[in-house]
Amino acid sequence: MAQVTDAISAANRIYRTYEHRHTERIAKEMGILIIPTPFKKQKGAYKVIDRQPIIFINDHLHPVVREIVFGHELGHHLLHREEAIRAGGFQEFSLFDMRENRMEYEANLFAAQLMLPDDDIKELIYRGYDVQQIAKAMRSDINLVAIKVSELNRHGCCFREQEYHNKFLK
Amino acid sequence: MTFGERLKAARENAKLTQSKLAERSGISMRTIINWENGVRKPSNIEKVNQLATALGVPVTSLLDSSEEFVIGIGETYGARGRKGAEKVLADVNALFAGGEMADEDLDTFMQAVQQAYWEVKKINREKYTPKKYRKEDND
Repeated sequence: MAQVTDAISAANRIYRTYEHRHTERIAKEMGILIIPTPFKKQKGAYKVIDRQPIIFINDHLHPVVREIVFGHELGHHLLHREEAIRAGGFQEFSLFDMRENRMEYEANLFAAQLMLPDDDIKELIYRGYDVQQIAKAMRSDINLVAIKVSELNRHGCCFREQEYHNKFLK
Repeated sequence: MTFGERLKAARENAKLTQSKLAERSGISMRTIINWENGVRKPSNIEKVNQLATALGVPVTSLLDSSEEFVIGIGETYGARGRKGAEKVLADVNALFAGGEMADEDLDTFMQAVQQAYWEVKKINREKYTPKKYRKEDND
């Protein structure tokens, strides 16, 4: 089982390697097979077939959500590939439902770390933005921002933490 | 219903015995018995076509889409490809069985997984076939 620090360092490593934060592009550049899927409710799924990692992406998601789903699935790919092979795959129903599953939290943390640069977040916080405003300004999701902020706090920053809703995207 | 059950139902519906169907379709009676009992599964879509013609039913009434997919993979990638395809479909079913996933998305996902499997097979054939074998494989 991957540790929280693994999620952070994996995200940092990916940013160093690819030098951008566009998760769909990174997935493509890593050679992950992307299958657009006309899901009604499901957001995405991650599965490995014959050693080939695959991301199934709901093809009518809002672009902001789509990027987050890719970030989340990339997290699974880098942190939980073995577990995915054993379980037969992961399916994302609600991305931010992390009550029961540590791996879901780690995948979200990975996505937050990769997609939200420290400096940008800090700057917005110093300007007095709250989590919701930051999410809007960075074209992201309030839950992702909240995860990022609590991670910054863990490293000694002192920002007011915001409860994030566990079942936000449901 | 499985292919075997559908075949049996269609044959009885057409009021044919197994031997009569064998005679009409050109498929051996042994094969028909094994298929009906689910002991074996068709490895070749052409034979299923012959049966369907002899029974006067469309081939899609004998095979569902995932059975057709498995046969198709088997024709291109042999018995191992087929086993892999069967396992992937079983995995997806198991994944859904335990989850809170809506049924309406299961079919969608099944279709997508089948599409993905074809693509993966193609990618892997290019990726893992040693150079000296490559020419025969790329037909």
